[in-house]
Amino acid sequence: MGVWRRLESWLSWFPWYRRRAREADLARELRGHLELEAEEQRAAGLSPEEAGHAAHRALGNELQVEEDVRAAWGFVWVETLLQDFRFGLRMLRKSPGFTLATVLTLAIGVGANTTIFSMVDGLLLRPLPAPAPRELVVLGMRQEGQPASQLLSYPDFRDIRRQTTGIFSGLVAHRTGLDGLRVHGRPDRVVTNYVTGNCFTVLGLKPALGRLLLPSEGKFPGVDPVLVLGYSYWKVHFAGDLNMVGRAASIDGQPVTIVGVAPKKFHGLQWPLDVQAYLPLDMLAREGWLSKNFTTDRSYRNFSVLARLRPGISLERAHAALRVVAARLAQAHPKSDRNIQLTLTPEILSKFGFGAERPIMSMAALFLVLALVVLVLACINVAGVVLVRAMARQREMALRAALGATRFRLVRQLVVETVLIGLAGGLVGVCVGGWVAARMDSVDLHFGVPLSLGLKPDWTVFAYGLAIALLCGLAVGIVPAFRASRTNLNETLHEGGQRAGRRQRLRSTLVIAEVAGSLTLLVVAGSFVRSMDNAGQINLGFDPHHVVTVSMDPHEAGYTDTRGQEFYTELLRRLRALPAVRSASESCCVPLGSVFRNDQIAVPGYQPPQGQQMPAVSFSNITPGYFQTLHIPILRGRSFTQADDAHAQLVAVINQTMANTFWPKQNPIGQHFSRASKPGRRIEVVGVAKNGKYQSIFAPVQPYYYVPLAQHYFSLGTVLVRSSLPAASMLETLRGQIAALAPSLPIFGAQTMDQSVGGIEGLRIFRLAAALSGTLGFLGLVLVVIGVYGVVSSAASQKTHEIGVRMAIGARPDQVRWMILRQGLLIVSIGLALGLLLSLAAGRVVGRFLVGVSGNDPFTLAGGCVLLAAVVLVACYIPASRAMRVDPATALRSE
Amino acid sequence: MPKKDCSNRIELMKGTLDMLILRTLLFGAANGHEIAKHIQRTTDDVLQVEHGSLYPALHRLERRGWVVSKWEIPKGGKREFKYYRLTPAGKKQLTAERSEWRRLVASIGRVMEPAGEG
Repeated sequence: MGVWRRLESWLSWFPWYRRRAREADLARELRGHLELEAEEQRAAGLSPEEAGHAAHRALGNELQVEEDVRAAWGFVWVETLLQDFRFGLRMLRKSPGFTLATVLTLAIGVGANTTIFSMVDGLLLRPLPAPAPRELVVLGMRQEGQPASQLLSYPDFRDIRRQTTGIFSGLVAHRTGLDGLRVHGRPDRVVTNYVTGNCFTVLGLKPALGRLLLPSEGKFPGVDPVLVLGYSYWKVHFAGDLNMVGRAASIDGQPVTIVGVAPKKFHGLQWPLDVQAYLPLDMLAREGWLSKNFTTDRSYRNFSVLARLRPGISLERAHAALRVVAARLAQAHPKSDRNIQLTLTPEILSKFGFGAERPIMSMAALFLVLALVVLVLACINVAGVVLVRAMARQREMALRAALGATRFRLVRQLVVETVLIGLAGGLVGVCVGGWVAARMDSVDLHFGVPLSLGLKPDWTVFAYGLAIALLCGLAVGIVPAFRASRTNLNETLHEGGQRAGRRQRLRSTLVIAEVAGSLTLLVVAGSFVRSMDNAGQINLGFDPHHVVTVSMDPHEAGYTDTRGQEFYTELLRRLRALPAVRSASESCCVPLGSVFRNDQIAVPGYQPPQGQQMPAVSFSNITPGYFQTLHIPILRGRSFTQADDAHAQLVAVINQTMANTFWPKQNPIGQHFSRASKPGRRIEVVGVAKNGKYQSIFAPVQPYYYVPLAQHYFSLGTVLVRSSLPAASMLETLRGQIAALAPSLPIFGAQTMDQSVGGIEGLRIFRLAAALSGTLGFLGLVLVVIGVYGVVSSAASQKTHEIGVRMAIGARPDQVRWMILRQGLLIVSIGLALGLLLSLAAGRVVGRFLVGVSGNDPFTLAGGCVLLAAVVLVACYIPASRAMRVDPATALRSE
Repeated sequence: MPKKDCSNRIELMKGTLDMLILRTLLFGAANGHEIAKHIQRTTDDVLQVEHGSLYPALHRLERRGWVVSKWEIPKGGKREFKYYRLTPAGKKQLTAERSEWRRLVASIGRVMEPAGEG
């Protein structure tokens, strides 16, 4: 059989394939049969006319035969389904108002869900774009008395790799950096991943251009000065130049060769950063970045480890193997690895913390549920309208049933219509939701480095949106369809008020559910908005207003430490000389910024709790004037002066929590401590600063201390300037001053301190939560108003006759209005009562994400009730007042 | 044509028609009319195939791949008719149905005419 014949025979399974040809073929076949039969009858002696009749008799009902043959072709139901769709489209076109209203209502629900889902999908559900991503895991460790961590030391990593070859097909150590990449002209600041050479092999990635790093690279310092560019950086910064491979470049002043470009979908190992360059790990062994002995120091835990499980190895087995390795490590290196435990997290779950604490997961689940509530509200509204419409078509149904339509076909006809509505609404909703999500992806988070959040909706998002739309279409159609198709010609024609009453009860129940759901949405939204307000008023411990910041790293321009220090001193001198500048200073780490440093400390006389190591404490290297610039009060002792330089006694200013932790009930001034990485150098406490927010706005205050930059130089730094100038012009001046002093130095993070506070570590998440829940709450409110209005006004119009009678026998208009209003009130009160219960339950979940307000805050609950009740009553009042104005004469004649 | 004696006609059992068609086609290609006539003739008009029911059956058999059809001009004829032909799969099906049929007949026979009765 030829290919064409095979295809043809396959296609012929589809009833609509060459439909006309088949029909003609069948007609011709039957005609042939009739002629043969007639000939035979003629031969037997009948007249031609009689012979024709006899032939027809022998064949039977021709139309029936054709129908039966078509049935033998199969898929008759597809044919009739198509008919139903065509009919459904015609019906929808005939009532554009109904169609538009229901489609838009469903679009609201689907749109909200698509937006939230695309965020959840982008943030949580996308693994690294590598083959077999389920095999990828992230290693971490836990040690008594220390928080769990995803950072390991290099020698531990090496030992683990050697001892687990049967479990993992490869282990990659990596670390993220910020470096100055210079190809020509001025160096550009880039986000880098320093990785072991096997990184791309283990992930199984193919280069977009040139080659990627090789497993043999990165083993010995300085041997393989190569660099792989990130795809989007290559595309944007180098305009996708195909000649980049083989180019000489320099990273922080060290020569490297560009050997290739990473694949397009790969954004690096440090989500959500969009990594711009990949280098072998050994390139880290250079001035200022890492402790020189990082390959041997086991307490220097600074490397993330990604591993690929061998095919068929379960997580449990890997866990068991790691337990053995951890025990060996603890035994061989009791000083650093005592009681060490190694942990394992699937890569896809590793983005947000580890262990059981994944607040972002529950947050995502919460918002998905909230969006689903909106969708349910939309469905209830649509179902209500569809129900009314379906009941109005009962005569049509009865007629079709009388003509031989089965119940199944009647139901299917109605459901097909709502499915069409669902699909149309889904299409609109998915487009709107996708657009919103794409907009959110491109919002500047003021993070200072390029991010790839992955919020851009992909096909899963569209599939999700359309799938729920389809389900909604089915859901809103099925109940009304069964009700309407329960036809009894006699009953339909003599329909009295009783059936109408039953349908009204169904609608009222639905609307009660709607009120309850909407109240829950409102209360959750109210809680998030109040939480945002509270977060905005959180005592930051510093004053962010009128302060601008610019970050830089003189290493990136190839500066030595001495030259860098001179540069900072001169820059600050020039800035302070400007008339508009009130105060200027420099610090490595800005509150709520993206750079943090910490180190274990040793305090004479302080014993950590049994079995625990000395705690790691965060600190910052600052210049004199820092406290003044950020308005951080010094509560005891003094702040730094120019006299605290490299030749003077090492000094520190500590925060209140540090004072209380290590020197409780003592005067901390004059006490000493030392850093674990520089054990011999005693640091004297000279002052206590007020507590503040450091790393993140949500974190509780931790011990923190400051040391003078002049005594502990750190190249990466941020210049902070408090001035009376508008932020934009001050930033311009600042840029100019830096460019004049160091033309080749890349700068970044030029922004106001207020922007940092509003950034990703600051208020951004509160604003986002408030905006999302507020939007959902608002949509819910709109839907419930439409729903209540619909049910009350249709109740009123059904009672027109009754109203007419009542008025004719002397009811006053306000009594009529009360009669209608009463029904609305009943719905609202039951709805609110149920809603309060739901809100209390929701509050327990929501409470975990709130600042300064509980999830069951009585003011928020009361506020939600009042707002909802007011809006809904207005929605009832309008149809009630209309009913009041009914003219009895007209009403009585209306039926 | 003499009037048929209706009392002698037997309604075809469901599924039996398919078997009869396949059996008929074992002799070679035939069009719908020929198949109908053949069944009627060989059963001395006892089995009355309503011509109409033949065509759905033929199309069903074709869809299952047991027969194939082709428009052909019969020998000595002038006009084209649709001729059905047995496929190898159809032959296999016929064998299966025939043995099934034999078993059925044999079992019914054992009930209706037990050996001892003769």
